[in-house]
Formats: sequence, structure tokens, C-alpha cells
Amino acid sequence: MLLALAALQGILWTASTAPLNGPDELAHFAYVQHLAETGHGPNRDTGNGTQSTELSAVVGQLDLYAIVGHGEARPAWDAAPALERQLDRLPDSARKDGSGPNAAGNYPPLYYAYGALAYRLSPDTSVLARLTAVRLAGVLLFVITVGLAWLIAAEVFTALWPRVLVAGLVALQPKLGFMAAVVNPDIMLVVLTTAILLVGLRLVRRGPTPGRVIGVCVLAGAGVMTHGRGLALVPPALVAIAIAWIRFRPGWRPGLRGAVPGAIALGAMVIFAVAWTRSHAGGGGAFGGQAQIASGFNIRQLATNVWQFYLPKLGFMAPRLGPPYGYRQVFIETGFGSFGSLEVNFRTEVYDALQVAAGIGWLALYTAAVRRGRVVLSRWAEILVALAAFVAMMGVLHITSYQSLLTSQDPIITGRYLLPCVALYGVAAAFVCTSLPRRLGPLLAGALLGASALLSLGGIGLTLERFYG
Amino acid sequence: MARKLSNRLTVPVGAAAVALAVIVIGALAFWRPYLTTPRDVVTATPSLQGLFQRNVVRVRHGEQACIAPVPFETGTARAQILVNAPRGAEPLVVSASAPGYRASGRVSRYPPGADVPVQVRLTPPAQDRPNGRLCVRNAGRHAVDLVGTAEPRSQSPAVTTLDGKDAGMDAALTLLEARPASLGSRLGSVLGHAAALTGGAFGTWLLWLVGVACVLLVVAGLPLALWSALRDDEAGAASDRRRAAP
Repeated sequence: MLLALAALQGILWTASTAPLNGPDELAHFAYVQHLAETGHGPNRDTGNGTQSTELSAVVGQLDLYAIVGHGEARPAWDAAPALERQLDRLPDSARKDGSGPNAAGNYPPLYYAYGALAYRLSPDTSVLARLTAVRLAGVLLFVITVGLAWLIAAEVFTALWPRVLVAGLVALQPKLGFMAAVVNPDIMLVVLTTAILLVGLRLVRRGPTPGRVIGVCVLAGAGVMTHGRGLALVPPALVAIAIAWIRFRPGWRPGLRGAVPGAIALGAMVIFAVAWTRSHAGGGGAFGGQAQIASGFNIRQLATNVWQFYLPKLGFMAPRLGPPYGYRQVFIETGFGSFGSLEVNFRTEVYDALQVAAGIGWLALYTAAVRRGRVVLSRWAEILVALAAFVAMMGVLHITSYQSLLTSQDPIITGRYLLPCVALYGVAAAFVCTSLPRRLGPLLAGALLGASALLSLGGIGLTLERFYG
Repeated sequence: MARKLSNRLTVPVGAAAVALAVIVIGALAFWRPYLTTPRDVVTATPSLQGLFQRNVVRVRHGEQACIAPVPFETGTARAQILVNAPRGAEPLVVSASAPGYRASGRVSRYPPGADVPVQVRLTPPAQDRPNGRLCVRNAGRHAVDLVGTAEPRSQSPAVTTLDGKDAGMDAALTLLEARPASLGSRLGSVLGHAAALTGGAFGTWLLWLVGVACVLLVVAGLPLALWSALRDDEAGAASDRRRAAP
């Protein structure tokens, strides 16, 4: 039922967001199209066109780029039939001339290869139909994520109802549904992180079989081949393997049976990703230079910046770099809302309520962890894997954000970057609910699911009205 | 009575009821006003104002600024332009034309000295006219500015000309239906617009179907899933207790 709900929501999100109006969607789809049409990725800084002639015609004549950020503007839906006829007359070369410069050109190719497959498999070869096909391929990853979240909950909770809660919260996370339905590699990072969490939990609970060790390594490698932020998938994979090794002591020979091929696969994928991103970056570093330490990097300043991201500045601290931007903007506003190209938002009171609820949630999580200290300690291995995933992700985000703020006013970090840990959000909520008195926990679960459903369908409605109302 | 109710209100039923109540109360409190409040219905935005850059095309006495191509849908009954009249409101004659369609209107009352949206009523076309033109003629004595932008990111296919010459910027233009309407009353046309840009992947009817199914799953399926899981958990726990009993 929850998988069906995720799929239906994904379709609605796909239809309600105007084509190419997701975050940086034009660049991502141009990458997919160039890869699908030519077998080559576009370049970050050079080439014969930012997007193909065909895509340029679509963007221009349907007003798809002009309306970005213009809440009052609508795409030119009337122009679609005439445009389709015009595009039919274009030569094949009009789809192949988008070799760059493309802002996403230095991203690793895995998601785009997946998108290119959907592009080629689309039964209708019009560019809008192919764009829809690539978006629906993202929806499939969303559905898989919900299924994986259910399996993660099954590893953590013996009762059924917390599984419904975990998978339900993931299926009804509005930003996740939105991001799944636009062309963007973030949704692949989400499914890979969720899969790593599942395999990591199984590793530390059931032992390091070769399949699990190789699996977790391949998933981490796939993350690196998806996005620079995928580097954050390596630490939880390694932590899971290390804990499993310590707990189950498989012995050198059986242990190496999984570890050696896993390490080779991970290493090969990292090398491939580094080589690809360097070769498409027009002389820049791997992953667009984000995997390097910037000049002026100061660990003390980084720590100060991170503190002020979450908490008020203390007297001895220097002011935070960049604009006033922190927990509320990332965890609440862009974590649950800000659809389209950030211009579709819930009302401020909704964000206020979410912030209060999140604050209560953090406090309840802390209280539950302290009160159930024995249970928590007995599950140290699972908790370490989860913490490794969360801390690694936040570490990569904060370091990247800090490095950006050293040279610009762009904090980079935004709510959708938290989505890879969406299953942990569900598990944390379920842990709090299961820590309450027997009758109260399920009632809170019902309230959380109901509120999430309101948010999710509300987000779809707002987006539909913004673009087509 | 209270005991009877309490006995019936088991944890599974209570949790499902809470989920349903939150959805229903939330929908009535937040969605209903949103779906039923009338607001302007945009039929097209052929030309935009700037996000970061404001430009004007100055239309002097007798001059005419035109915007084309402009799509006139059958519902289009108002044209809205952004006007700044520094020396007082001047009468403006707005004419819409397309093959097989002509309409015009006049406006002379609007606040001077600031950028103000000015609306003119037009007779709607009998059929959709995708390649039309909308012109604004200054019938007054003093110059009037049409406000828009020249910023590249907000450029649309429509071009603004002044007496036939490219004005070098786009004057903002929005086309609207005759009367404000609620979102709920025109969901069909909204879904139709959305379907038009999916390249035929979804028809309007399919989006209706998916939307209804999704709402049904949320309203009925979600509480049911929670109820079912809790009931199975209780049954499992009872079975465990029976097995453990001597």
C-alpha cells in the first residue's frame, strides 16, 4: 500500500512540476540527453552548446526557463502542440549538439546513465515525453527507497506498526517526493544511502558474508559514481564492515573473501569517478574541486561556523561567514518545502509549526535515548552505522559549505541534501513513538502520518497551482 | 456506555482514528479554503517583469507599443499590463488581434507615479488563438511607461515593439479570465494544462484517476495500514502470551 502511495504521489509530482523547473533540472536533463544521444557526457567548461538545439527550442518556446523564480508566470502550455510539430522536423543532430558548457558536466555519470536508459526506453520519442520518462525513472527510485525504509525498520523494530510509520514517513516526505519527480541525481543518492543503511545493519546484526561486504562496497562506490556528495557513503560502509568484523570475527580467509573483491570494486569505482569528473571539468579538480581542501581552510573557523549553523553565537566566537542561514533554512524550510526552483513554499506558519515539532522531536529523541539507555547500548552497532551515515553526510555538507563561504556568499547547503538520511528520520520518529507508553505511541504515529500526508498532498497542490493554476 | 466505548476504542482503532482525524481536520482547515477561495485565473503570461532589473518602454502621445506573439485562449477576457504614468493617468487603448479575432478596450483611471497593474477587459475569442498580438496605444497627452525588463533570464518568445521597432525590452503582460475562480472549480483545466506538458505521457483523465486514487489511499489506506499492523501486532502478542502460559 505504501509503495503504491509513493508511486501515485511520484506521478502527481511529475505532472505538477513544469518541465525543467526542478532545481538545476535543465542542466541535469541536458546531461542525460547528451549522454543518451552521443554516449558521451557534456563538459563543464567547453563545448558547442549548453543544451541541444532541440532542448533550447523547448525551453524558449514554452517559456520554461523564463518562468523560473517568477511565481506569477506560467509555462506556455498552448504552444506545446505546435512546438512538437516543429521539433519533428529537426534533424537528429539537433539532439546531439549539447556538449557543454554544462554546469553539471563535472558530475559523475551513474545517475545520468540511468536516466539515459529511461530516455532511450521511452515509447514516445518527443523530448517532453522523454523528460517525463526520466522523471518517472526517479519515481521508481523513490518507490524502492520506501521499500528499503520498510526493510530497515524491520531490522530495528520487531513490531509491525513502527515499520508502517517509518516507511510512511519516507513515502510522505514532501521534499523527497518532489525531488524524486524531477531530473536530479539526488534521488539516486537517497536510494543508495538507504540501501547502504540496510546492508550495513544486516552486516552488523547478521555477520559479514561476502555478499553483504561486496554489496556495501559496491553501493558506496555507486554513491561516489553518482555525485561528489556520494563520498559520504564510504564512511558508513567502512564502519559497518569494521563493526561486523569485530563482532563476528570471521577469520582472515573467509573475511577476505568478501573484503578483497569489495575493496577492488570500491577502489575501481572511486578511480573511475575521479577520472571522469576530472576529464569533464575543463582542467578543474575531481568533483568540480569540491573534494579538495580550499586555501584559507581553518579548522577552528569551520567549527565556529558549524556551531552557529545550529546555535546562537557565543561571545568569544567570530561571526559566521556568509548570509544568515542555518538550521531553520536547511532542516525545515528547504528540507520539507521549497518546491519548483525554490519559489513554491508553504506558509510561514507551516514552517513555524514544523520547527516547533522538530524541536520537540529532537528533545524527545534525546530523552528516549537516555531513558532507554540499556536498549541503546545493546544496539550500539546499529546506532554506530546510523551515526556514521548521518555524521559523514553532515560533515561533507558543512565542509563543502564552509569552503564555498570562504570565497563567496553561497552557503550551498540546502534541505534536499539531507534526504539521503530520510530513513533515519523515520527510524528516529518510530523510536520515539515506541518509547512512549503502549497506548500513546501508536496514537502519535497516527498523528505523524496524518500530518505528513497533509504536507505531502499540500505540496503537490501548491506546485500544481503555481505552474498550471 | 463510557466503558463500552473504551472497550471498542482499542489501540489500533484509536491510532487509525487519530490519523484520519488529522487528515480530515487538516484538510478542512487548510485545503478547503485554498481550494474554494476565488482568485485570478491566469490564462497566459506572454511577457514578464524582471526579477532583478526594471526597464520601461516610454509610449508617447499617439505612439503604440505591441507585444507578439501572444496566445489568446477562449477564456481570456482581461489583459493586465504594468504601467507607470509619471504625469498623471493617461487614457490607453488596448487592442488584441489574431487571425479571426479582434477585441479592444480602454482604460484611463489608474494611480499615477508608480508601477501599477492596469487591467483592460477584452471580448474572449471563440477559439484558442495561439499567435496573436496585443497593442497599447497612448491616447493621452503625456508619455506613459510600460514596465517590464530586459534581463536575459526573464526573456520570453514575445517581443515588444514601439511603433514597429524593437523596444529592446519586454513589457510585462498577463492574460486573465473574466472572473476570479477557485482552484477547486477548475481542477480539470489545471490538470489539462499539466498533462499538455508531459508529451502525451499522461492524459487529463489519467491524472484525475491518479489524484483520486492517491487521496483515497491517504484518507483510507493510510489509517487502514496502521490499524492492520497494530491489530497483527496485538494478535501476535496474544499468541505469544498463550504459548508462554503453562
